[in-house]
Amino acid sequence: MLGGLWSIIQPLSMMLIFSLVFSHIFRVETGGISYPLFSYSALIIWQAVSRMLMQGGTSLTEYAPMLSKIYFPRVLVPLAIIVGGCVDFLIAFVILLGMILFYGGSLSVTVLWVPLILLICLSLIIGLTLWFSALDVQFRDIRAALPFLLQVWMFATPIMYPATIIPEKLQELYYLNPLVTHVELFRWALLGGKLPSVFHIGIAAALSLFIFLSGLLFFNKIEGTLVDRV
Amino acid sequence: MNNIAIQVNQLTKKYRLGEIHEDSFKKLLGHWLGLSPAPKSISKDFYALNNISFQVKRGEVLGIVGHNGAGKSTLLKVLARITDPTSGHAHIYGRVGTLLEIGTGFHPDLNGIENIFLNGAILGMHHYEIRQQLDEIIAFSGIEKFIYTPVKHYSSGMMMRLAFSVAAHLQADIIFLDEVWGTGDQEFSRKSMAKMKSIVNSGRTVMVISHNLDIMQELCTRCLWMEQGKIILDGLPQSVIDSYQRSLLPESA
Repeated sequence: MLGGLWSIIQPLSMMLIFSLVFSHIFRVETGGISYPLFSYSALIIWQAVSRMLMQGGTSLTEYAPMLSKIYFPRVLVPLAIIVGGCVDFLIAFVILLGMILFYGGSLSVTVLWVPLILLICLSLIIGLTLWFSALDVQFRDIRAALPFLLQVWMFATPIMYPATIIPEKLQELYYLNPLVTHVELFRWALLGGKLPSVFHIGIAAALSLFIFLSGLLFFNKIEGTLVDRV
Repeated sequence: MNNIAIQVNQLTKKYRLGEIHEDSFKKLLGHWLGLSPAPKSISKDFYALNNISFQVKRGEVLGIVGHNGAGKSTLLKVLARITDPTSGHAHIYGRVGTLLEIGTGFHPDLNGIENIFLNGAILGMHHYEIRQQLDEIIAFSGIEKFIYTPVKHYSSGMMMRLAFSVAAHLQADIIFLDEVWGTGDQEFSRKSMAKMKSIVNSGRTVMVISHNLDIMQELCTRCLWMEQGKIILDGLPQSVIDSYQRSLLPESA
């Protein structure tokens, strides 16, 4: 019933809860950026990621009846979910811009990097969604693990806390998660703050593109006989 | 080559029966890590289509008869690109309309008109084609009064009539039909049959599967009898259907 509003309400309410818990109770230090902006900017990315993966990753089996009756490029099914997620993201993004102005901030020229940053992040998500939706058809138990995996990934991403609180020894391991760099880049471009190292950016971009390309290849390989297994 | 609508060369579709495929990631991991022994492959290969070759000329109405499991539906599925063959090729020259089921994609919350557009699009009709024929489609279905009601309130008969009506207005060059005869009441049944005949006589190439041998006799210009993935007989409907019917009779002692 709330439809489009949900894409705004959900991250906003999460942001309020996180603000209360992490900013006021735990007093997390967010390097000069006000906490609501800090968390909301990452939350809208996370919301897109989790929705696209959850719904897109199980989409082929959900649409099995249609797949087995008529031909169309099977990739359209997870792609449709992704496009829907992008639309929601754009709405939430506009709200974010509004919030930045509300908090008296201004946008610097780094904002021009945002489309590229989001594009590479999107390629990561598309790749993962293609992998999951293809595997879901064959292995029905994967979808049970999905919520848990997403939960772990959420905590492993600097959404409600800054990456700086991760201990030195674990930093390199931590940055193997490409989403860490994507989120930090997004924050840097919009809100200022620390720019991740070139090395980390390189890893994140390479991993994202690799997952994207391998996902496309794998999906393409199993597309033709999908219907036999679904 | 433009006289040929469908060219099938050595088409084979093999399924593996038995527990070859892991259907659980947990099991797969277990085997990889050596925690549980890999299952013995007690696979049997099942040939749903066994090296089939044939041609269909433009305008032919090709009927396919055979027992359940003969491979008829699999043949249509492969030709409609729903699943890939294991080996062999099929070439189709022209726009295909696939009707393996009536009412694919009907969404219960949308009303009749919206579902006409949805179903039509899924069947491959262009938006303008649907719009052009919208009045005809509604008129043929006979449910004008309810066209603005959400489909979830329709009776199954109403849904079938609407779906059939959309399908009957498909503008494809080549049509695949698999047991899609509307049940409806007598009047609608007659209307559908008449519409089917006009589609079939319009010069379109049709491949049709049915167990209703009377319908097959009436509509088809040629018949294939398939059993166990192979074509046993190929000829005029009269003789092929006769032979098939005789095989259905119990053997006399």
